[in-house]
Amino acid sequence: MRQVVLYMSMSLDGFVASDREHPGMAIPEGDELKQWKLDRITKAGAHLMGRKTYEQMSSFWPQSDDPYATPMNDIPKIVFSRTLDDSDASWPTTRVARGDLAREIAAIKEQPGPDVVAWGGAEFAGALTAADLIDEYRLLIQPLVLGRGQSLFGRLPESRRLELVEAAPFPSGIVVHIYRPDHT
Amino acid sequence: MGKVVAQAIMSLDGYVAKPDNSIGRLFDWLKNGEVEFDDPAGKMTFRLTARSAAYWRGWVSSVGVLICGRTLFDVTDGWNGQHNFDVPVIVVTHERPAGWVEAHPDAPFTFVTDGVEAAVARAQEMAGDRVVLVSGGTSLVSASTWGCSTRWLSTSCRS
Repeated sequence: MRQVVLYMSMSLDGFVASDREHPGMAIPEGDELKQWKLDRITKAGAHLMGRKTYEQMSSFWPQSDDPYATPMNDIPKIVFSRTLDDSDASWPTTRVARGDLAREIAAIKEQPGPDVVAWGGAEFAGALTAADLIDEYRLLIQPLVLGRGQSLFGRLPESRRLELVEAAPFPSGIVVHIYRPDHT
Repeated sequence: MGKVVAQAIMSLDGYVAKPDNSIGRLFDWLKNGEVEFDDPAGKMTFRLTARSAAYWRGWVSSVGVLICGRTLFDVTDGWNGQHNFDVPVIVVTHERPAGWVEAHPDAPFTFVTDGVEAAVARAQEMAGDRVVLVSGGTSLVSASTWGCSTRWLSTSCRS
């Protein structure tokens, strides 16, 4: 069964959004990390995202000539929203998933194809995390403390163990932590 | 002058303790390995993985003075007068714990009542060229992080 892999930038103190700075924008990721991400994202079976992130990405990537634009534009998108009309989901190719989050994810995982990538927003990623629907977390830990903001794990009903797969520091000071849920 | 290092054993989402100051499973890594490590005070034997043991041994031996806040001091009852690292301790507090001081006359503990900066300056004098460890303890680390030039020590990923 294919897997759901979450990519998300996080401050050292665990915040994925903040009114102070955006954890994914504050620190330039550098060529090495960019290539690391490109090598992986290019193989994705689909991009999964919430409505807000979809609206930002769909108005940005079609006009971009950044190396990220190719995998973002060419790979199918699945946007999770109860309110978004099909006519507003015109970034080729997009499907709007309107059903129950866990059922939609289960259906995606049963389809054949490569692993799918989930993108934050704190809200969408937080909902996936709370429901334990992420198979692999690829957290890009920034050399940045925000002091306040939104936590990826703020909606967890209880503490949870993760299994460390890999930790890789990059020259930009960003450390990629890869975890899988520890269901043992 | 001693380098000031804030040390914390922290969950992935940035917590160092529960609201009631208990630590849950955060310190489990000190007992789930195969390499025995006696702390310098001879009070406890830890069981670390080989990699953690090598790292922890180097770190512990680099520390000259430890600073903590009053909360951690109270939670541990001042480590019964001797910290596990067997180093002098400076406690930042508004009030000296009178009964405790009399009960532990030989404890190498200094109570600083005129603020974090004074405590750090005092610790750096005492530490010489060894490390000043700022422990705990969110209020103390926050104060010294913003107020002084504190180096962060990551125990998780760059060892």
